[in-house]
Amino acid sequence: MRPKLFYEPVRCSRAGPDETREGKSLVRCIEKLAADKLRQCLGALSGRFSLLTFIGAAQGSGKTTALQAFLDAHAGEVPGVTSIGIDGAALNGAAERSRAVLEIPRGAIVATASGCIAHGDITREILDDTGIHTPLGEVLIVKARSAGWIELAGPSVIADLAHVCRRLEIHGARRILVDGAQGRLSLAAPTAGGASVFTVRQEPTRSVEACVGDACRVLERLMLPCAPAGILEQICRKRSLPETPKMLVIDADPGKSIAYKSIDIHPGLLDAIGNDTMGIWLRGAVMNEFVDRLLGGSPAARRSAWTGLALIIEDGTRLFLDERRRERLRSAGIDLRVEQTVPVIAVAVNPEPGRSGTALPPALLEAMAAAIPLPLMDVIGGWYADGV
Amino acid sequence: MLTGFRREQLDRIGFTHVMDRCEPLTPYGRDQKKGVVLYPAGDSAALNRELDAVGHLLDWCRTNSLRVEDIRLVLERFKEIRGTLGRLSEDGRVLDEVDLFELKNFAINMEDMRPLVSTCPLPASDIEIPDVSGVVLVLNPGLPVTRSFFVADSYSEELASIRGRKQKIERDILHGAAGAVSDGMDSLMRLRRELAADERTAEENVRRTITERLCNSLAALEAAVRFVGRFDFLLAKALLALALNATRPEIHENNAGYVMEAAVNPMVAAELETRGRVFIPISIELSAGANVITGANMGGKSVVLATVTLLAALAQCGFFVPADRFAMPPLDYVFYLSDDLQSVQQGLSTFGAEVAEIERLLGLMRHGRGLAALDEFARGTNPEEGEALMRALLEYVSRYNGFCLASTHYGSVVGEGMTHFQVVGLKRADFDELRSRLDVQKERSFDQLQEFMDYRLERVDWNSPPPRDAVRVAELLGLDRELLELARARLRG
Repeated sequence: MRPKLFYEPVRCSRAGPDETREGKSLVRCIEKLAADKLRQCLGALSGRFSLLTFIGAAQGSGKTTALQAFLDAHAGEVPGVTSIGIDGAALNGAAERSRAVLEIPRGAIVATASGCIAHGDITREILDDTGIHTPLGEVLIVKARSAGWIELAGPSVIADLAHVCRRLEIHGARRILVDGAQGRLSLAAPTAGGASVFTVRQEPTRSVEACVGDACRVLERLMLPCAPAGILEQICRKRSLPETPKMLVIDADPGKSIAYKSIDIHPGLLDAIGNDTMGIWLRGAVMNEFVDRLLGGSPAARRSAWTGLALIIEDGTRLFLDERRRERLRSAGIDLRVEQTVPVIAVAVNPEPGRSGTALPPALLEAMAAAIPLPLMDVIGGWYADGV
Repeated sequence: MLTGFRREQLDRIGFTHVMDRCEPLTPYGRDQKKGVVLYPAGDSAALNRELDAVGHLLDWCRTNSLRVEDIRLVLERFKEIRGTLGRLSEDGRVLDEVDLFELKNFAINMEDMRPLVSTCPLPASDIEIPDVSGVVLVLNPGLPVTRSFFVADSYSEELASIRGRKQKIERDILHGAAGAVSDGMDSLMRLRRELAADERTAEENVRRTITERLCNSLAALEAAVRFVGRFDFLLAKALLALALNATRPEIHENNAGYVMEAAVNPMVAAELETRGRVFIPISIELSAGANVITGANMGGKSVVLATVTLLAALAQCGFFVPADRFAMPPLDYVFYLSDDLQSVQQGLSTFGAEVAEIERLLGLMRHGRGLAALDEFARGTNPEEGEALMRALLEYVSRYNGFCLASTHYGSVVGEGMTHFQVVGLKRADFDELRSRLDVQKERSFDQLQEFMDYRLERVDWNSPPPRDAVRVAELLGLDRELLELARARLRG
């Protein structure tokens, strides 16, 4: 399907800030904004970030739509655009799904697979190759010499993304927007100057509450609070070692902290946890199995057992614990912390079909507003709620 | 893979290791490396030409290291265009933008190469650097030359006019977007869509013209691909020779023997280096017919065999060899029988597999001159028959013109007229002193024993008995004393 070129003018109506509906009181003002006003809001939200990634847990959560809105919000500057494919997307079907269609302004720099270049209606100049190959061909750097639509299929591997972004920058892109793939939350891992927009969809088979609950769980994970400064300082020092440890038992006295080369749990580890232990730092992914093995033992030398200890991970994208394990950690008194909080600047809601654009904001957006303090928006309907 | 060798054999003699260190930078050079074969013995002139070419380039590399780096940087940029050339050669096929982008970059890289390689000593057959500057001109109308590709307006007035109109409408859409009535906007959008379609058609016409013009350069482009592959592989060979401190093999019909002086097996040397030890270079001179190595366990017989095979294979494939001097006549085949041959897939036992291999060797020997290295043939069967078979094989191969080097522990397989080498090993070591100096710890004693081992080869009389120090070596390695006593009693009895 070919999308429309440029925004259509929107006749706007405004929902009252303190309006109540069906007995539900709205704590936040959800406004219906005119297109230019919405663009202004999105521009202000993302202005200070040079890399924006669009992530969502579900297929069709509106990543590309949200990306398009943010792209339009920065009209006049040279954007760089790419996408990330599905892990190991060697299958045609997966490759098919990982293509996104986007309208880009004249001057935009795009990184997309050679197989996508012939599609689209921009006047294009192939600037450079990247040496990164995808099922749809090598990722090339293309300049839009006219506005128009393009098909986007960037690198399949997140590790390649940094290289592609650098090429986009070299060729003049000032702000890079990356369309994520379903479930690839690791794309949001904190980088210098980077921020993420999380997208949520109203699943047709699930209730609004369930959808909000899902979104909250993911966002809570991404936005886990940072560890205290004293702990971060110790981790930072260990990170600068030639061989960064995989695990660190952090003592209040840095001299007594113990570094480990693996995250295996052995009796020595439990003995190393004492009254002055502040926390355990783990590098890399944290899986259910780790929690089971850790809580399978107990730190005998510590008066308060696990209570008051922090379990510190790099960032929320490294956390792969189910709710049961999270609960086990909580009831043991272990506090889950991160080195860096994932900078999620907004949540874009993709309402169920047909709901958008009416006089009332989508139900999902309303429910999200009551649960999530981040700026919220429905970029199609023009509904917007400021962050709290 | 080298014909006549299985993957494990190439790994074992260190050929894979050397090939891994030979690193062409272009897909064309890598293809040449993959296609490495023995030069036909009948055409030693071709082999010598190749070795000369490597030698000249090697000398040049030694004094032009900065230039070499520049060349390597350009080589790294070459990408595979053979698919594109295939499409270019198809009748009526119009190349797409990606094809044209790749051809343009190939041609620019080629033009970047030209001044860099112009001073290289290239063999007469390859000296002509194909001229593809015409391709750059076609794909980059006007100046400056850039690596990007764009179906530029200057190719066609029609295209320029369509784009001009389209751009105007896009401006109107953009400026009118806020206030225009939707009817007017719809018609603008429709107009833009039509113009975008016209632009596509005009672009395709331009690409058709470009493709036709490029067809004239097809032969030059194909020659350029061959040139890059040839030069890249030759340079990789020269740089490998530099890294291995290798010398040019002397290949002459009238070389009666196989002479290897101070040769190194780079794979074994690299492994020793990781353990802080050095490779003791090997010197050996083989006579036509049967040559036998006997000597101590752990004396490095297998390394000698592997190295002799490796250098013969490298030399016959047109590579320099890691030795101070190396000479041999041109060889029709290089054959290697390792001591742990297993052909489980074929359902053969070690011995069965050996017999099949020996049968293959006899076939090779009947049809030409070559080198065969046999590591402890027939050790997997009963000693009496094994020894007889070994002796028979050595007598048999003595009738032929090639070189056969066999290692064995059997006592009386060396016949009169055969060349007999022995590893010096522990022959001259004082065992009592050794025993007192060796650690009792098993792992340490293994290392220390290797230090005391004299890995040099010496030529001995054909009827010199092989050293009998297996029991003593076992003792030094810390084998149970009671067991050793039992063995000694057996030997005495």
